[in-house]
Amino acid sequence: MRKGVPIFLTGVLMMAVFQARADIVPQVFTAERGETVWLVTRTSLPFVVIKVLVRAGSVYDTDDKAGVAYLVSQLLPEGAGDMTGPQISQALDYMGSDLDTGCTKEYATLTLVTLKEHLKESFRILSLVLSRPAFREEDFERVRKEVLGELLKEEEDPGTVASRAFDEHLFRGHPYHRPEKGYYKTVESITLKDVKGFYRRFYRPNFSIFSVAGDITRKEMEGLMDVYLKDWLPSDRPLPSIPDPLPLGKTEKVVLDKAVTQANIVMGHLGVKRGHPDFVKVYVMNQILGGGGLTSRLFLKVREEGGYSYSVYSYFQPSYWRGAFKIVLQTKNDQAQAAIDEVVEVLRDYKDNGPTAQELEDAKRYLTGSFPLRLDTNQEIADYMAFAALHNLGPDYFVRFPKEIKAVSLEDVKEAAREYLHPDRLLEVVVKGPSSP
Amino acid sequence: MAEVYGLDVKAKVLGNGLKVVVLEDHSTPTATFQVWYKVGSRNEVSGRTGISHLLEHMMFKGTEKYGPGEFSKVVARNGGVENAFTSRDYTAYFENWASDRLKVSMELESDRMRNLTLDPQEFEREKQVVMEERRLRTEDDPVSLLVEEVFATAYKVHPYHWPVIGWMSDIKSITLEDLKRHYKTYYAPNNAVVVVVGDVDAQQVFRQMEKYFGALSKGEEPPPVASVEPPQRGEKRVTVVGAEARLSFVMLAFHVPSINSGEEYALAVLTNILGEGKSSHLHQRLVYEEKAAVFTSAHYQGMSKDPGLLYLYAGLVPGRSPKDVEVVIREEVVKMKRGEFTTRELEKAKNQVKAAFIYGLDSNFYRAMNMGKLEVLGVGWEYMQTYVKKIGMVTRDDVVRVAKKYLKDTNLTVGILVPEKNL
Repeated sequence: MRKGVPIFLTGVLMMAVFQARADIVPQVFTAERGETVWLVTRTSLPFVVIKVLVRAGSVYDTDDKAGVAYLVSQLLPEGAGDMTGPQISQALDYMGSDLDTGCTKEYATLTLVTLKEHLKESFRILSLVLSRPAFREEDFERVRKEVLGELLKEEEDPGTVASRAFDEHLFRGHPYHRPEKGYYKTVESITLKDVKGFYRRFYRPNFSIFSVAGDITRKEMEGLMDVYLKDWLPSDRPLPSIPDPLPLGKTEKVVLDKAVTQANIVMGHLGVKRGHPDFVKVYVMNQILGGGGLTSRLFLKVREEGGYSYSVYSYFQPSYWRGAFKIVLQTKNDQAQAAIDEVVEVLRDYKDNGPTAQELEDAKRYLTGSFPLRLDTNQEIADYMAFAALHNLGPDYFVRFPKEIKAVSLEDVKEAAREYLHPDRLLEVVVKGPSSP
Repeated sequence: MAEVYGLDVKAKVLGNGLKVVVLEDHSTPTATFQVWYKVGSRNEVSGRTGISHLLEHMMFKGTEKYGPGEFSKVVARNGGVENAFTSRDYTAYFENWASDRLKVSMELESDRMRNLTLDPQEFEREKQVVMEERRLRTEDDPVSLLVEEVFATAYKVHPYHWPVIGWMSDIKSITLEDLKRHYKTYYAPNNAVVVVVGDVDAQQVFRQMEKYFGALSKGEEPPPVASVEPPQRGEKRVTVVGAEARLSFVMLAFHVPSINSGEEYALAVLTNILGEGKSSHLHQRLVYEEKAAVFTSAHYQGMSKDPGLLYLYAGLVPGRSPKDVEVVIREEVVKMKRGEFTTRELEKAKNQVKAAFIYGLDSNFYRAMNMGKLEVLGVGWEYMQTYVKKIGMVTRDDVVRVAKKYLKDTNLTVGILVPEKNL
């Protein structure tokens, strides 16, 4: 075994750390009817990505009609203005354009990818889908059945089942506890009236963010919005107010039986939201514990030394309201407890002692160095800008974020570990089958 | 728009047979460094399936110079993102980072190309990790199990019969000696291609590559894959009863030629019209008209070293019967053979290929992926230059011809996933 052999890095391996170059300085403006627009012009390739984020997530569902938000997002492209669903997909596919709609707990998204030469027509269809959906009875019935099918399909995946049960318990009493797509029973009870009511309340220009990257200027974007979205009416009511979730206050363990060969484990507790002043410190702290790359403490202990799991990681959700800190792993049924014990031990040690100076230095170099790599395509830039806009991080975010990471000190991380990790207050969810040889 | 198809790629072969392919792009100060080995599950034999993938895992377990996990630490502290993947035809390793880090890639990758430690204890532990990976990806995923069965049924002789991750009992029983032999046979400069895309100077890359890789010894020529899949003599069927399956799933797979057959362009267009996207025949018919499927799709394995499969599939709306859906899919296949598609659909397929090509150019990583894949498949990066043009030349007759030739019942494997609870 070669564990612990000192490595003397010389020559090329010790070059000065790469300074993240943040070329991305978006233009940020508010359009005619209250839409927030973030735009980056990149002309190297003749195409554009437009991501529309609408504050119409499943947090605004009600418990007895959970699933309306998602159903609305799936129905949008199934008929709008004078076009039927098949006509919309045929028109977009003919141009080689992609339009994808989705919905998270916090927001709905419509993402358009189009060649520059088809920008106008593609944007026209996007605008129809966004501002004039048809919501025909026949499409509604069909799509609702498809969503019921998706819900059943999700039950096949033990990871999804575990993650849903985790949210169900951790966020009890808060809208975050519901799955984005709702429940089989509640989706069955949704009516077309529910769908139309939700759409009218939340799909409004002043609740939306347009994140745009590619071969397009601000002037072109404003022109398109003026022509195709001029009849989209803003809301004079504010979004409903939602409080932050409250902590559980005690350890809970949930075990669900399923005919699987591997235990799927999700454990954690409440974390901090993206808007919290300590978020960046917590982010760096978690990078060392269980973040990206193949070097975190959890990865080394649980996978590399223990051989327990193929995948193991932890994260603090960069959420709008106070979200979760989660640790996720899978291991064969009969060693689930041993793996959980390993994780708790890593967590305890890290909370008590924090990282080494070297670990912190490595994590900061990884996070700052790899940051520009996450921003090198139109799609990634549009995604990241929509995120920054949602959380009000400011147009200088892409320049500021690496600096904020660099400014995190060893004391900051130790403090964050002490304050935000609670190995004695864990919610543990295990979805597992019978032990096998 | 013609200019975007012309890529100014520079290539050089070192004295030991290592091919280096470089594409300069100075738009951001980043680069990807990828090492592609011409080995995958097609180079394996029964009883030792999954050995290529297992070796990929062991490539992170250290050399004499850099101990276990040290490789990843060095990459991370240089701000790099790394990983590796194994397929049926190749195994590849990559680092994405600031372009001034390339020398670190060269130092590390040249070292593990020939000097891997392959420690017995690390090996035993990594087998456990890979078994967990198989449980995660396959054992507990009913659709993956079905796909595995369809391949195992469609191929009886050729190594595409087994999955890349290997059978569980093989992963368990592979020995360190097996692994050492596999490493020695396939990990050599003459069996690899290095692809660099990003903010670099090609000539400088060639000089540096000479310095770091030039002294590595050439390996013996690896043995060719001898097995050839004989023609199928009649329809095959396989059913998987999924203990945890909730939706039925229907899959139809046909043997088809792949890259460099001359027929791959027509087959790609055929697949697009039949099953790719919401405007495709399968989606329009099964989702919109029959309301029998939650989703449909089609895939053509054109980027495959040996003849692959063209497969069509649908996930069913609860309560609908797999038998009925299979009948509808077969009807749609027949329509393609009769040429029942519009000229506009033919144009649509071509437009989609062109657009997807342009979207794909936006990332150094994906460009390098495509170049690397084409290199190890034996057609070379140049194939990219002409792909869109050749797709543009496909005619209605071409599509009908390949549909008639390959979408035949005697060439078909049908796979059905049935939820245990429905029985």
